[in-house]
Amino acid sequence: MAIFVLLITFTILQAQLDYNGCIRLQNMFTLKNQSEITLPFRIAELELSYTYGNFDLKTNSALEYKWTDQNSKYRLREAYLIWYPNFGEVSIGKQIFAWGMADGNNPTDNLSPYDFHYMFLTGIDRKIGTISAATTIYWDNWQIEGVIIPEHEPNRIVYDKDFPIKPPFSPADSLIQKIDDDVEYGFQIQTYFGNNDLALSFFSGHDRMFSLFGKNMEAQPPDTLFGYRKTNVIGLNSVSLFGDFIFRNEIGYFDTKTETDTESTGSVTLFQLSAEYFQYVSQIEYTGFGDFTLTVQLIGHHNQKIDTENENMKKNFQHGTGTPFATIFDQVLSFSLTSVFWDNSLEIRFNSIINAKEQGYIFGSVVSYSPLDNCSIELNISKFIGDETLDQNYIFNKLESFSNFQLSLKYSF
Amino acid sequence: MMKGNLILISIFMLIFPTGVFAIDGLEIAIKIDERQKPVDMKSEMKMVLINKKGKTRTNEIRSITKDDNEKQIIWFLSPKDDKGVAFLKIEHNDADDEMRLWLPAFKKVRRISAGKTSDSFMGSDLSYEDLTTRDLDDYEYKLLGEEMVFSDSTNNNSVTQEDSTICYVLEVTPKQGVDTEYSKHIDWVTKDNFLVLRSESYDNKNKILKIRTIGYKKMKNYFIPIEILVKNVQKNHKTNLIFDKIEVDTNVADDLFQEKNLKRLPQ
Repeated sequence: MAIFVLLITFTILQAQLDYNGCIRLQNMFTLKNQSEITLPFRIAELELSYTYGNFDLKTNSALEYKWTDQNSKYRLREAYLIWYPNFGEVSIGKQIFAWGMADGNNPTDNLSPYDFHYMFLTGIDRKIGTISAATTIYWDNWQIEGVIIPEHEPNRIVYDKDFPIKPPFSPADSLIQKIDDDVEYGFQIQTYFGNNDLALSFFSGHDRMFSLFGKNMEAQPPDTLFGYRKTNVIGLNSVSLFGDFIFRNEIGYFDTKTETDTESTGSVTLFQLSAEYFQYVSQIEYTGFGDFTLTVQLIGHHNQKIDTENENMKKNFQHGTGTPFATIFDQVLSFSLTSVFWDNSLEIRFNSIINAKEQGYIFGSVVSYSPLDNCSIELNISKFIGDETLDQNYIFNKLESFSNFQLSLKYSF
Repeated sequence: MMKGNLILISIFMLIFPTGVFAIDGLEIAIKIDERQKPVDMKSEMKMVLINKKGKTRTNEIRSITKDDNEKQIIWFLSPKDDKGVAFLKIEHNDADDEMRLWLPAFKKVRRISAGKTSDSFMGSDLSYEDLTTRDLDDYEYKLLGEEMVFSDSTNNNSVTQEDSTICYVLEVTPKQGVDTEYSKHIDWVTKDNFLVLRSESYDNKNKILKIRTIGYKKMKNYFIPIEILVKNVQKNHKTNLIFDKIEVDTNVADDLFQEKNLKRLPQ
């Protein structure tokens, strides 16, 4: 035991430690009456990396804080070991994965669940790490990646009164069916030729959002039961470069079904459903003079087939997996214009989302200024506009009350 | 007779001073091109951006290049917001350059456009064109004369291996059809080592756009740039690139210039 401790201590002392993190203060208010929006935010983040030879141990932690109850919660978002052999990399531990070649909206990126508290952030900030093992093999122009996740992890849903996008109720854990075999896996093959990148992926797992599963007729009144459908996803990604233009495309084919072969078991009446649907993102990106970048995306979904005897389920079918914007909206156009000034110390970004099917808009603007190295101030304004001729359940109408501005101060170290 | 010939030669030299130089513009360009360069180079770079008010912003970068910058991989060390971002560039003779960016905040390697050569490199006064070696056959060369270049250690405008040195003044003009943001360059090239100490670049309206001064250090058999100061005259903005911890010819493997190496800083 002593030798083991000595060995570990020696290794730790020999290892190279690298760190970076930030401290952030932010708050969010409605545009309508400047009332505070009580969502948590990450007040501190720390990434550590221990390097010893061909091994890295990486951790990513955050302290989540909420102004209203002044409660903080520590979250170990990632902690994993990576080995870098000649052929690529092997990693094991709690980690976040990011697939997909489009920006921000990725139908083929289903390995890691979303934390909806951070849904409007970018990158891995809105993802949850899961215990998993992964390997990536690099061979000439090819890259092959495989991931195995032994335990299903759902999205973290916001039930806060201030957040407009949430299920109508929060079911008790006892009403959500446990998954018998919840091992998930995925693999991706990627290559490039000339000015084109291409990737084909497959994911087999369960939905990240629960859906109707059945009814327990023994309970009075009968309990509605929920579960996670079994879902397989085939994904295709491409990037093509034409001069100053970059085209990024992503499409996912989803095959989902309630994981049961029987119509009932004991007192439980099961609602069987199987469905096939597509989600897609098509993106054009242009970089012009003066360091500005214009990005246009078409995001949407198409329900190919919904098989169920329950008409209500058919009418209210929701995707349980996929990218949030393609899940929520039938089809939207997204525009983003970003430019940097003053030696990259000032960044201004305008973005908008336009519903292609009915009236509905999201307008946003972010101004980020770094008066000093490692310090930044950011002002973020989001305005949601619905259609008063449609009912209150129309998603853009629900979002209107969430129109907000957010101010944050950040120090990076 | 001898005296008469000497007088004639002197008169000839006064009237046609350039005509008697033993070397012409193209030969100077060839000498610059043929100058010995390391096969590979590792360095840490500090890039200081200085605006017209004197305010500075500094990026620290670790860089490895090979084959005269045809292969390049760089990792950003600071500022902290950029730490971990890495960039890979591979030039192809018969295709567009391949450029990839590793973004740790997204955990993705992003293919990016080689873009216009006039695009700024990381917000600096250097464009991508400035960072690539000119193709000898794409330009015409004219020797304008000779000048003394003095070092100015106060402003560090010109770091030379001596306090002053005589240079060829070479005009470099792109040939028709060459994709470049410049109408011409005027280079001051040392006579002994064919090092470009100073370069003035002119825009498409023939107005001076940038002035570049380069300091060198001798390592092994090479003259390695250790400091490059670029001044954008029209924007009144400067970029100072300072190279440190330089290592040359360390047998950098070709497979270092691969996507997988973007994710991890070399030890």
